[in-house]
Amino acid sequence: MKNNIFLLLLLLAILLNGCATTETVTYLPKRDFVGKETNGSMIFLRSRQADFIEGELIAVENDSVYILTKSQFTPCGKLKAVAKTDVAGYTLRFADSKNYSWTIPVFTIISLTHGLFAIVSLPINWMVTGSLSSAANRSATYTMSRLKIDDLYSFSRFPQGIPSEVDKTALRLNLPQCTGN
Amino acid sequence: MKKILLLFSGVMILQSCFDVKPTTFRRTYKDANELIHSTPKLSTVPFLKAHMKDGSVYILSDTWTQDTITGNITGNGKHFDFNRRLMKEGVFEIPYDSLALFETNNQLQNMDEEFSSTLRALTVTNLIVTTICITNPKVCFGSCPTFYLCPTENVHYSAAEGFSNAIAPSLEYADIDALGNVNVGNEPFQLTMKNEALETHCVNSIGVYAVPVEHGYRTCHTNHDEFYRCSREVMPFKAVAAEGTILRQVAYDDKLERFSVSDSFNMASKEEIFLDYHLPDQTANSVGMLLDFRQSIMTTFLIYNAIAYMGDEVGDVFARMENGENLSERLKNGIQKELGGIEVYLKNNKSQKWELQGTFYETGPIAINSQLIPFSKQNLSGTVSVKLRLNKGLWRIDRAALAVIDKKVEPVKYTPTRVLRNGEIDVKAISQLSDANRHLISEPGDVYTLFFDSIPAQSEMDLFLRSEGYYWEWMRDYWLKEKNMTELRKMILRPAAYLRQQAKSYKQYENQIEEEFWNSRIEGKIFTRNEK
Repeated sequence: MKNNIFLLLLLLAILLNGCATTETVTYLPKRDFVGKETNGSMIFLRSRQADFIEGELIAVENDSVYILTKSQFTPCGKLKAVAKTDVAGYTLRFADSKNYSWTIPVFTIISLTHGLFAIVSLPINWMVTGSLSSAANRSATYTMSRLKIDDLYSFSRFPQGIPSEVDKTALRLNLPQCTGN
Repeated sequence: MKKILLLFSGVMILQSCFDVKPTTFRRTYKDANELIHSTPKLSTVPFLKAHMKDGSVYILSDTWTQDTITGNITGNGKHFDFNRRLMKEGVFEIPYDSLALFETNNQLQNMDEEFSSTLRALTVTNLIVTTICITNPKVCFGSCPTFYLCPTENVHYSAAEGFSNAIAPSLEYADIDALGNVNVGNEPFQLTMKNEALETHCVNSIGVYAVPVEHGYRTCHTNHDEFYRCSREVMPFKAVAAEGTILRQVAYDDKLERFSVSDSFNMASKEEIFLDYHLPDQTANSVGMLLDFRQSIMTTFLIYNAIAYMGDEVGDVFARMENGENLSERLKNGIQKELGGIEVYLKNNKSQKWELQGTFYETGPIAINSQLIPFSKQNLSGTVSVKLRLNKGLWRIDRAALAVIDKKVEPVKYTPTRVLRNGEIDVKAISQLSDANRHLISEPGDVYTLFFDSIPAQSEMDLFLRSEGYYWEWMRDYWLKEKNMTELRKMILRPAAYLRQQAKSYKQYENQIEEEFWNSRIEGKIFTRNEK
């Protein structure tokens, strides 16, 4: 019984993996335009102190990861540095992808209209929509297990590191009200 | 556990079908020399990103060139400042010494089209099934209480289904189904009763008939609820139907069933199956026809049609039925009589005429029934020819054997001693099942576990389930739209004409639904008689 519950939870976690939604970031390119973007990728970083930091990846230097975050008081961004040794995990979103997680509940409900045939259609729908959502999510993201922290730099705004002549307090998020783009 | 693992594996396998991402698609180079010498197929790189020491960036399109003598990169593109504001667009000449880093990217494939086409295919398939179920809900929902020897089995492995014809209190009846040969161990024998449909089941009583097994014998149950000890089963050496030989399908109780499709012009069209057996000369005992069979979805379709025709008057019609109007008898003698059962004929070798021995009839498309019809003629030997006459598209036959009858036996009846409802002890249920004037009410999703503590432990028994009761079908909104009292009257008063008229609409989804539902069982499972 415990095994069943564990496996069901695991399955649910995999299905819901595709449900991880993020704030719409307009500057992220579609997959077939990746490389033409000028800003860093979006990063969702979890520190060992269980802090969650979300924002544009600015640079990865020898000992720190720099992220430009947005808050109520700093709508155009504030640079935060996290020591590499403090990073517990992250998800890097490098492209804009459609969110297919809505298909899981929708097709579950559709299966209910199949009566006895739901015995067949429900697991098939779960398998396909779960896989689809997860695959769509994975098609535009890297996690720590797939992309090591030392390789993160190439997805930052300044892969060479933050230039010394750049005023760190003058860095702005790529939002129309901040850059005028 | 196995099902969850299967689902889990399915998700994993399907996920791997979507090749979503190459491991590396982005490369960076510290200088022009590295860019030239380390980039595979540099000429095919679509554009170049040049990160400058001052934090700005150039994005050059695929016309860029580099001059190693002057130490410049020249190209058409855009220049952005450190906050990625566009500074200039046009032709640039970028000196190497102001560059911090080059970046190239392999072009990634846009997966949206692949995802969308997968979703389109899934949507179309789902909509087809939904449309069928909405337009013909009779085939998709429900069918009386289902009983299981193993509580984790699904509807495809149901051991029995109870009182399928009893769609109203006045139609209540007791139904006996073979559960097969069961070895009772140290644990008390238990049965699981599920309500897997949109129905309210009113169960009057449940009992188990048991006959101790003697080596070399099995107990057979007749269509008149008698029990016989049978010593031997003889499989046919020839079995022929309209499509040719069907010996492989009807020789063994292996769930490989023989079935036909309905007639396109008349749902009541009949067909014949011819079976030849060889009995040794010394057979002095009585012999009977032992048939493992169940119905297709045709009867479900018709029962649900009848209820849908009643529309919002369903309550009135059932009230009239309960108040003595002979509607139920008319329904039963009309449509049921028109479709008929499986008639068994024995060939008289002297007169060469077919003589009717009896008729098998049991409603329900889920559990396989195993029943016996003893032949009236004694001391048969040599080649015995049997003919089955049955309605096309209505019956599925798993096995058609002859059984050599030893003697009539009386089973011992056991009643449940403990009941769990959805895993919790239900004291009330026991009193309801033991009182002939009360009913156990089971709602959709209910699972009852019935314990029969008085069946002796460490025994081998041939068991039969006796269930008595009736059920109420839940009305669906979309059924109300199908109200048609004229059609209901036609169904009752002129069943032959009605069955001709409905033949085409039934045909439309018969093949698809039958195949999809019954072929969806998990292959490879070894069925035993107990699991039927």
